[in-house]
Amino acid sequence: MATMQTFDAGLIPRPDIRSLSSGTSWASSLLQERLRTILQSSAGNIVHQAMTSLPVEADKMHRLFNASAALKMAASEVSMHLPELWRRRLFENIDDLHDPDDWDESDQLADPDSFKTFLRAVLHLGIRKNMMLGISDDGNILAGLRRGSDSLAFAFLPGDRIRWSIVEHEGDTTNSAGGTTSLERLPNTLKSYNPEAWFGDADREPTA
Amino acid sequence: MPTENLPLEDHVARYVRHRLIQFDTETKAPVGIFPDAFQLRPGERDLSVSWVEYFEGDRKTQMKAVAEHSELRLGRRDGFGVLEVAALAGICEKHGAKVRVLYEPTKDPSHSAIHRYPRNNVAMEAELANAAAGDLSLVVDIRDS
Repeated sequence: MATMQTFDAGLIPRPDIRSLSSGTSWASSLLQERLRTILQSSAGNIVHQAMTSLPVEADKMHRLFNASAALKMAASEVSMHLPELWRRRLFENIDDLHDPDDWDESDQLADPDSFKTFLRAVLHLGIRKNMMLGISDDGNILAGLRRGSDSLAFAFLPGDRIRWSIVEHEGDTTNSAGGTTSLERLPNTLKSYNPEAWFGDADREPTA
Repeated sequence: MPTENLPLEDHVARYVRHRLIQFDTETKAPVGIFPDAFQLRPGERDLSVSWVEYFEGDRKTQMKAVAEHSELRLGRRDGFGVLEVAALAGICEKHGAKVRVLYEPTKDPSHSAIHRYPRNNVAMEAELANAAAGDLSLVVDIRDS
């Protein structure tokens, strides 16, 4: 079982990522290895190949199927660290996003580097709450969380950069904030916004 | 044609692609809009919207007309988020942008544009998306209504 430690904001348990580089436990080493695979090995390459090497004339359904499959394969590389229900919903979400009936030829397929940032964020931050996914006009993976009328949204950019925004209501007042930060700094950035409420069911331990 | 500001009490509908709509993971109902739906695309100077009250009738009839007259290829799970002009302008002003919402018909007679709309104002885009999500309709529901 992976060692759990406190989320940087002091509220949310997450896998002990900091110990990965020193390899202090077999679970940490395994997680480190899995994270490395996203960046360096087959799944990441498969994502790139499926999304960048297809012939232009390949029909829409074929391209969408391949794109969807590539994302799922990348996620499968770390699936043992994701709760079963969360993973199943992620896959359903990926399928929904690639429904040929909804897809226009001008739409951009998901950027594989953005999806890597998404996966790393999920593992690094211990986000387990069901997120609603989207794809931006430039192919970045989007994730949204809602609590009543409040909303928290992320755009996962290549290279572990994350654009975030939050909208909260307090009586008649609406507070909003947003910016772009790194994956490493995101927990600290969100400290002021009650992360426990947003990632409240993030306390399930990884299954590894 | 003289410049025509939309009445503050009227409403505008912003078209939202399905991949920018937040669908509940369990019910699949549309519950939110990603802030990216309120970003200017490269090359765009103004944010395009449809003037809901340009069309007569009740809200359902108006939204049906908005969808019918849109110059875009609408997918069944694409949607429209509606905002009151005053509320939209108020949110933008709160974030430092004094926008003008002008009637600028194209082939779509309800087409309007938000001028002086800033780029890279993530918090403003998030607040607009959050507000528009309160009155969000899918194309399939608008057509079937």
